[in-house]
Amino acid sequence: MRRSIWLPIVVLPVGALLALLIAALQPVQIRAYALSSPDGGQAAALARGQQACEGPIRLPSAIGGVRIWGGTAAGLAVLDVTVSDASTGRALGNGQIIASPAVGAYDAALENPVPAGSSVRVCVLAHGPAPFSLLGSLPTHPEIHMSVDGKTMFSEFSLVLLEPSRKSLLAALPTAFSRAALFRFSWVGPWTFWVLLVALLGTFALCGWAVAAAARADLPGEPTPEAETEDALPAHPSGQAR
Amino acid sequence: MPRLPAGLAGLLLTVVVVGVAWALLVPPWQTPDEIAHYAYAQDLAENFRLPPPQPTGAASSNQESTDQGVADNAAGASRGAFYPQTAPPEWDPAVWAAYRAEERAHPAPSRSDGGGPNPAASNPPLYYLYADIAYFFDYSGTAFGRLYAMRLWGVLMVALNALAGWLLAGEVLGRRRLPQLACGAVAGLWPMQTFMGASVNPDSLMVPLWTFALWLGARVIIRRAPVRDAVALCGVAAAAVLTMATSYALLPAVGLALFAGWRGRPAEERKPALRQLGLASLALVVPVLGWLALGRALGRSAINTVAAGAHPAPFNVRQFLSYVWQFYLPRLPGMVRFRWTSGLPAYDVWLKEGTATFGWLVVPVSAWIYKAVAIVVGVVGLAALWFTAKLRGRTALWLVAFFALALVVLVGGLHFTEYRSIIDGQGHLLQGRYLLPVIGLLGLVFGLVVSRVPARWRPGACMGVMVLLLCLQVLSMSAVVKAFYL
Repeated sequence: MRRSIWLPIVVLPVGALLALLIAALQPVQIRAYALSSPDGGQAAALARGQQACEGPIRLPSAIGGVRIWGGTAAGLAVLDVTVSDASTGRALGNGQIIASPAVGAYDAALENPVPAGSSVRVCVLAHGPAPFSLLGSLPTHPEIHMSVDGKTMFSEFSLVLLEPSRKSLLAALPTAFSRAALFRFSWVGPWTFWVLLVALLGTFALCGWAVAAAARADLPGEPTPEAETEDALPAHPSGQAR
Repeated sequence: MPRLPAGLAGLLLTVVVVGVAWALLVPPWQTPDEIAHYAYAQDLAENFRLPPPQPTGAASSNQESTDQGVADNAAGASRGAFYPQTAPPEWDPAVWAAYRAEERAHPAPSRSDGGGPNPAASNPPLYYLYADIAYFFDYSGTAFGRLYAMRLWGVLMVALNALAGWLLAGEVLGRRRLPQLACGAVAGLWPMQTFMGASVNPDSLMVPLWTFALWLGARVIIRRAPVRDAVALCGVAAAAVLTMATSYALLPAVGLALFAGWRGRPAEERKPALRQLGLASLALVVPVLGWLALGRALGRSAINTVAAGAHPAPFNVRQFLSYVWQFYLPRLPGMVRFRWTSGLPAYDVWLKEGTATFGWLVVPVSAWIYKAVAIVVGVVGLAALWFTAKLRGRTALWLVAFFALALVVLVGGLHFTEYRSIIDGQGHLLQGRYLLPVIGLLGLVFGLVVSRVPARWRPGACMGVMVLLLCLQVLSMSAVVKAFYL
């Protein structure tokens, strides 16, 4: 095969796969638990000294961080985040957030990881100076309650609990595929996504084969069986002999 | 029997692999309006009736069957639509097990008690009839089995779109495999197209019908309107109209292609050809008029309409032009702001949403990817414009006019509809995926440039296009994995 054909067919996919591999090694933060309360509206506005709490939540795995959604109207707000035992109130982990007017997700890294199986309550204490608008929605979990300064609210603030350490996307794929395997055909399992991943990577080779075949068919003076079956067009805008 | 060209076979296999990955990877009902489209298809399959339209602003009631509602609730689909970060799909295997137990209980949740007012009701039924074939593939399974069977069935449409792209380039650029491969690859592997094609959505059928119509229109122009091609073009255009009302935008271009093909005939053939082409056009006129009559008989609009708000405003040409200006160019002093997007609407809507924004249009890829796509499409587009400007000859100019008319009428119609929606107080409605019907033209642009690259660089150029598309696909899927599962 000519060099002008095989060289790009080999070099481009290999280079692309290497670049994708490097991208897949970048660390990502994995959610251990999501309350599944959309951040569609304001659940509470926390003025300086006010505290919003939510629980009890049973942890399916260990956590090392808390993510909430919100923002200030103007200026900064300092928030203390505490994860405590839901029954005894003992603090299990603490973290801090400095929120700005940019509405979005804010992460608090906990000083200590909280072990799996714990039943916890998550509290957000505002230290001001700006009030913090905590986003959430109407309650969706009958067993989980939100309160502000001890008063039960008819809302939930959006809450995600994060795994203690970051992993590369590649290392996180088993978790992703086991989650993706639910609510599909009954025969679908994590294996299905591994097979698809391998097939997806195989398409780079498949495309190389397709380009090589197309290039061979286009080579001048090398008619292929497929070319022989073509109809001749009566006229062509490119003026090319066909 | 003609053999399938090896390059095309490789492309189709690639498209099928990528399409199946999209169909299974995306969580249930996490593509635009999939909840309503599934409900429509289910009601049609179970009760053989069309759902009534949902008045603008009215709350949805009884749109989903109990079967769909139970599944939706278990997977957290409606709850998580638009909010994948805070409300991802349910991950708990215990909830999945509880759902399956409920499905197996007697009586099982009803599949036929939906059919309430549906926002997708203005769509004609052709796509839903197609999707309902797959609805019965896993009929004894769960709602998820039926949903995913319909999605996988849609992958066939993505592959057909790639095939149509291949044929389109073959017709316009000559049967040169590398440009054909590049064009087919763009048509089948553009991330938004694969994502939408592998979802339960009439776009899945409409897009390949448009690409086939573009190919057939080119055939009609180049081959001087053979009756067989004219019938096929009219039939495909009718099928597109019976899939989505957006496809009325295709009809002026179809008319132009028929006229150009007829004009291309020798003078002595024109008169008898007129009658033949008139008969051929019945393949378009009869189904469309039939649908319009049926719509009237059923008391439903056969075209999409923008409902008037509380204070509808009259159409203002200056204001409309100002709106279009602001969509594509920076706003000038004195212009009233029409759209609130972070950047230029053409970039945010056409490029970002039209390339890779997933879920309910809330899962983007990294910003640098959009910039890279903009640069590549910009450079290739300018090169294609240069080559097009150098085209001479009547057939080539008819072709350019045909493609331009299809594009301009679609885009113009979309802008007109959005402008009406805005002045009627109904807000913005354009989404990038609305440009997918002309994805074949984007493919043709890439094919044209590949065809003009010096022969020794052509395999590299074609491979570059395909590798870039595959990289885009992988990066898009990784964005979906992060948003929904990590």
